[in-house]
Amino acid sequence: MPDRTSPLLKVRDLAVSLGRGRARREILHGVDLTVRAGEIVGLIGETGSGKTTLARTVLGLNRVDRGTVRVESRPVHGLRGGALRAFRRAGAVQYVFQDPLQSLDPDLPLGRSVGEALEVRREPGIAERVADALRLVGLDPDLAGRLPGEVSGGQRQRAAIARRPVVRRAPAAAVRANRSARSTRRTRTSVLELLARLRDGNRVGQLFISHDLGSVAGVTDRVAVLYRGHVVETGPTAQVVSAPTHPYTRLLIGSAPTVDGGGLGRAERAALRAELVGKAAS
Amino acid sequence: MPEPLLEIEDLSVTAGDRTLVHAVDATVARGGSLGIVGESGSGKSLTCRSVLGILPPGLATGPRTAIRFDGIDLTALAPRDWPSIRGDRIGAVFQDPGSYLTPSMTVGRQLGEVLRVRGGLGRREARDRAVDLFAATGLPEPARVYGQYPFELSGGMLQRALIAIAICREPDLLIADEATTALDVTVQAEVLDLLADLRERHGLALVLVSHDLAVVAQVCDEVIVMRDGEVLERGTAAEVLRAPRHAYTRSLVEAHARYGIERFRSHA
Amino acid sequence: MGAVLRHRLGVASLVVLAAMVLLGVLGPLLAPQDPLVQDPSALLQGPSAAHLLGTDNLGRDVFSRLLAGSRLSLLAALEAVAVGLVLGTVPGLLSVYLGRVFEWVTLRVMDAFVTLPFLVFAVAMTALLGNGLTQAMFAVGILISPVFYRVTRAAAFPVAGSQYVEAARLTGAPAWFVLRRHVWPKVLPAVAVSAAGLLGSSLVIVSSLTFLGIGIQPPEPTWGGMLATDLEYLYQRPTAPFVPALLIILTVGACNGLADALRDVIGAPRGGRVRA
Repeated sequence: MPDRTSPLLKVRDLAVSLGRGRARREILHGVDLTVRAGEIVGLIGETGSGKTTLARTVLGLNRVDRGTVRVESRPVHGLRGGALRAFRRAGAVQYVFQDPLQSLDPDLPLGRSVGEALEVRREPGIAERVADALRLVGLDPDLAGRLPGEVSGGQRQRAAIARRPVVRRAPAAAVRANRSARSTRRTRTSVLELLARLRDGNRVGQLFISHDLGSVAGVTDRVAVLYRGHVVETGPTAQVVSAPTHPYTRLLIGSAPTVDGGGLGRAERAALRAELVGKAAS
Repeated sequence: MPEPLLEIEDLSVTAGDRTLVHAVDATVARGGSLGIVGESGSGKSLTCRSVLGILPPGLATGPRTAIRFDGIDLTALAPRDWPSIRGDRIGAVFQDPGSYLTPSMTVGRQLGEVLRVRGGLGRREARDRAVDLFAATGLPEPARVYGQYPFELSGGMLQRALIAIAICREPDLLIADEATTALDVTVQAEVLDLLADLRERHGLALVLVSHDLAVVAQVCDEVIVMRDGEVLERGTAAEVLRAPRHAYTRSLVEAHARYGIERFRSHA
Repeated sequence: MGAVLRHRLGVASLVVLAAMVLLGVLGPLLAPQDPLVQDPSALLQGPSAAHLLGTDNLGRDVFSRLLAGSRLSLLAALEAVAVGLVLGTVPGLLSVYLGRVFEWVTLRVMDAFVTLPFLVFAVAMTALLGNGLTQAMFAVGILISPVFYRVTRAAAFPVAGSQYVEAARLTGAPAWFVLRRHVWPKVLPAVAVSAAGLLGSSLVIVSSLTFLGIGIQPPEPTWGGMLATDLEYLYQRPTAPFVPALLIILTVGACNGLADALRDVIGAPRGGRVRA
């Protein structure tokens, strides 16, 4: 049984800088984030918030200046070389790319991409497990032999997700939203449904990273709002959405296009913007 | 019914023997607004491109199609007459603003060039007018933006600059095809405000195309919902949102209610 | 490769090259006479039944020498391409992966190679390593390696930064796995085009060097060397240079044709390409 009190992913006071020399900038200024077993956490951040940097750091793709990243209580932020590869092969953290076109090798049949992690780990029975994974995400196992360019966008998206359940043990996962190639709302929601189903009982914790609170609010248990390298607000999704405290969160929620006409008016948004500018100055 | 500015009758778009858009009818009144909602492949962009006369090679409008803009039959327009319509009377903005600007020229000069070549303004006049237009589209420090290169501007600022270029000839109609899709939500809200503003202040008619019903409903009075090249539903924005008749439109509204932030507001 | 066989220029080039390879392999067996044996009684003769293409200034059978020379010339060109391929492709791949220092150093070294005049460098290398075709071609290989280096880097660079390579790294895959699985298949077509093109260039270089007497010991027949001799006795045998020159032009043309065909085929949309 997973211990509900010990988080699967715990990020503490994380500071990360990117760039070299004079172009070096601190992107994350001491971020705290926790994902527990059975939980879906939404990390919401717009351009320049540092959400991609945070995701990449959790995955060991950036070095940290300060703070810790722990997966199942084990510090992973200092791992390098062989230790990092061994940690990745163990599959404790899985990553689902938002944009399946770019995360699948165009010259490789889908099945090879889906089974890549197993191949790297030299596990037996790859073909059957790839077929199982494809069935799990609602794809015909016969598609394993097709190239990404030979199937529909929705099928590619599902294949990209199938990379994850092919690994048996998968405690924490992250989705990265790619804005420039935003999928239509319908494919996006079916993807979200699929990921929610993959909670895998209550063993897996998931971190959804998106620029758009509106598109992930419905499937997340908690959200953390990232703004200019700080988590400005975090809490249960219902609470954050219905009673946001930070002006940025209020602006974000008030700007989201909705079908119930509940967004903020222009004057209210302008006031929030002014408040944010005032905050930044102080 | 006010005087129609744009009338699309029985629009079909074919590629060889395949029909990509079937029998689309739509009308935009002078100063009015029409929202077109649909996924990629629904035919919403091809509809816009037909109006602009910029269908991709190999695609053509059908024989019974009629597109009338202010009394002019656009389907019969000769190539040399297009410049007096496109740009001058119908402006357009698209999804990826960066790809519509020359990277090696300041955005101010790019707008100034249109004003000088198409508008016949002098160098000084063109500059002043460009700065005014940048200010009108809500760009902060318009005089500074005038001298900046596209790579120095954020996505939202680029889209504002392109809107400035699209409206600089004071067109009667602006077509915005997924123009806010690549923008952050908070920036999208501002650009949608800007479009609504332009309608109010300049009497500009607007065709707004989006995959998101909520975006369209926020700005437009009339909405049509497209899928697989056909119009499934049409009505006022309020009607379509409140009482969608087609199952597909219902699924769009429900997706919002289930996954969006609306879910929490209705329970709050 | 199948697509090349549907490409007209590709087929023609392959046929010519296959014929040349056949000449190279079987040449010495087919040669009616020993290409090194001199016959002082028959110097600079025209074509006859005994000597199909006549004899040279030392009375050697020209036809036999051409057949023997084709093997040497082709092997030399292949050697140069092989050396260039290894010296260019390997650092090209590694420069994308091993970080900035390696990248900087290899870029500067390759730039330096580009500036070297090939004849002078080849002469210097043969002076250093001894006058032989192997040494001279090694020098040529070094000089063409920047082409492979650049081509490899250009093809590998976008792949190295792609999301699918990142996805592979996130499975804990070691660098060699990523290189073999994702990078090499994207680099290979570009390298193949360059190799075919450079094979033609190398043949020209071999011919030029041997024409000038670099990298070749006198009795050994090569196309370039024979051309040089034929030109010396142009007055006596005015049509003689025609045959070795034709062989060189045909083979170089076929190499370039193959390179063009490969590029056409690779540039065409494949199944793996994305439909809109």
